[in-house]
Amino acid sequence: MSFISKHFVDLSYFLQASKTYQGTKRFCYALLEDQSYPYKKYFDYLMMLLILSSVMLLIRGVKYTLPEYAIIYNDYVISIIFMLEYSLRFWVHSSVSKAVIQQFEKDELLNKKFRFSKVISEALNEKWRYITSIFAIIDLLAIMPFFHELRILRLFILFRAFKIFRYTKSLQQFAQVLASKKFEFFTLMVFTSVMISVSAVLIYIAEANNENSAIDTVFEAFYWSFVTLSTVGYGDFVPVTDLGRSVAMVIIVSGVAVLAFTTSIVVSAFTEQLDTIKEQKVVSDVSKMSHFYLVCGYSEVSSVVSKRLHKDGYPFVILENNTERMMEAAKLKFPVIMADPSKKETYEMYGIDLHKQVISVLCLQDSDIQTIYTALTIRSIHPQIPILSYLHDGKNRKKLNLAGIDQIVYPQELIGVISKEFTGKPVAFDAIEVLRGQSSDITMEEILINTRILSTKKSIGELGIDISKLILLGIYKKGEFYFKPSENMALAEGDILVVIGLGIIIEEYSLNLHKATA
Amino acid sequence: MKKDVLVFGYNEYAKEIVSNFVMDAFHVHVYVIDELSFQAAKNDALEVELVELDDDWLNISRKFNTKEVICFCALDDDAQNVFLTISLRAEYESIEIISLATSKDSADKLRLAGANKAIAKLETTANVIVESLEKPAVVKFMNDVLYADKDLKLAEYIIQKGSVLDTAYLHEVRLDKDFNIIILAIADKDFETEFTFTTEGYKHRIDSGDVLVVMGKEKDLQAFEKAIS
Repeated sequence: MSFISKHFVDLSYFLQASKTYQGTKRFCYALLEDQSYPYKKYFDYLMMLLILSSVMLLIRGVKYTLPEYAIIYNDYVISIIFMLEYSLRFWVHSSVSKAVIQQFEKDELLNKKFRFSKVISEALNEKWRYITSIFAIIDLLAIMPFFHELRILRLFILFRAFKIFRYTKSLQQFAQVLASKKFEFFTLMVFTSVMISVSAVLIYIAEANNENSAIDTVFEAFYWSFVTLSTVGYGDFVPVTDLGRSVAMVIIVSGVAVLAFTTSIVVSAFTEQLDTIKEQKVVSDVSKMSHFYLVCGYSEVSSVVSKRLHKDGYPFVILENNTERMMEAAKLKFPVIMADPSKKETYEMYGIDLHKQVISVLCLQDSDIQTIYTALTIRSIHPQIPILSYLHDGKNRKKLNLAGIDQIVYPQELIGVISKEFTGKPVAFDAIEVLRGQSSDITMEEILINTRILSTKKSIGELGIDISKLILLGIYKKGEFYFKPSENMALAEGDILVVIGLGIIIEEYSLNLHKATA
Repeated sequence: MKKDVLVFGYNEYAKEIVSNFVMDAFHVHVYVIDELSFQAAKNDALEVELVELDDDWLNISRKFNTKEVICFCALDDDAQNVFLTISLRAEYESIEIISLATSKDSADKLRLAGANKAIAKLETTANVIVESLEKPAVVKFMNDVLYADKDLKLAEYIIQKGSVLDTAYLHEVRLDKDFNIIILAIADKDFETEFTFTTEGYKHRIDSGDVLVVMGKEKDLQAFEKAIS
């Protein structure tokens, strides 16, 4: 290995191992490119503000003299910020050191001579791909006004307006949708160009030598063709010969056809891409959610569960691979992704992080077979995540337990127990129904004892529940329930109080309990 | 306490209802409307009868004291359940009917048809699922008190004429502390339930015939029952 290669490899290892270097690069990448990074939007807003202020100064400068500080701001400050942004994007686009290490280790493994020139050329190619991308070209042109001594370069401020595309997702989507019809647009462009060229030549031949005609030059002929084909028709150039007017008739008809064709291409592009755009929106929304319940399957029961979660303001995401059901959920504005919850790829593809984002998983599919399959997929990704599932057939309870489901809801059993309970104590049952129900103001709630509460309240007596028109039913301490605890019972972190009362009073009491320590 | 339980239908829900009552030594009689269910109930060694939905149901009063029975309408089809409920109510004004419905809409129809209680399977299940996510401690507590065989119980007591509580005001009697129980609610003769922590409940005057809903440990509840009788 040559001296340079060796030092390059050493440097690559040093950079890859450096926490500061990698951390800074990761941060820059997230800020510039990662849509899920929560602070990216603030960076984007800042850049858009700079762009707008720059364009406004350009417009103002057309008729009025700008003050010195505005010129410095526009020519230097903004340009330097854009130059910095361009350089950072260039830096984070790819990793040369990583490519060097990969190639070095591969060559070592195969017992080959390290091909330094090959890896450097590949790395530079990758960087070149960035430089020649549309966005990078616009970025570079937007920096040009920095060299304002060259007057022509000042016009490049206009390219700053194009930079807006980079920071507004909807504009990017618009461009993507149009890009999906590249072939159609190309065909249309060829047709239009041919029409303009042919009609321009014909009109030139017919009108150029006629004294009464305003069309004298080839440029004027092209200008007339373009204005007529676009159906604008300013009327500053008008054909006067029979041949010229015949050409005009043909080109007017063609112009209408071109416009209709263009409109239909744009409309069909949007129609075709609508579902994709909607899905991209949901995926983007999901990636921004810090925590949510994951509902697998949109069955009858998950429809009711989703409505309750939605009403109570709890965040959730539905995974459903049946189109009709997915549409039903979408109609109710529920966040739904058309995907199979039993496939591992689903979670990778849609960026659902079971470790960080999902509070618990609800397997509410139509059959126990699907439930088990989904539960095992989820368990293979996250062995500890809480899974609750609906049991269809009592015989499968053990199988669901084996699949790692933590909590099973078997409606038949539930209804059976409730029915018996009602028979024995109908009044008590009604009272409990009121407590459970959503229609009444009265509710049963839990209050978690945390360090904030503990800083001033040390025992049950100090909680002041008696004077709050609430009833303290008991307290859970390390999973054990203490009914009607004595006033002397000490409180500890993690204890859970179970209280009943009017919902509004419980809410106020809980707030005061926390506020009292502020 | 009513000891005769009539279950209409023999699906998975009905089976669970039957098993809960059989376990507690109730007399359970099953009515089915199809041969398959008849055989299934027969195989489970149950007292079963094959009937037609448009029967006049007069044989119920011949076999049972209709004031002492409780009927569970658990047929698969909501429309059939509504028809059954309305038929039973037409025949017996005071018979107790609990009907199962698939959804809340059907449950409303069953109530209109005369069911004392209509349980919407879908909503009940969904509520349990959501509550176990939102309030796990509350759900655990409910399960412990209502369903699990724990020491803590929920009970209800009818105030008899001449009871120490007859004509007393709820906030004046300090029963909670004396018996280590919690009086949750009180229902008057019209079964209007008032919770004791609401102003109306707190100031409620107890009369004979009122029902107290009480929570406590079994021995405390027994002592309380003895004291108020």
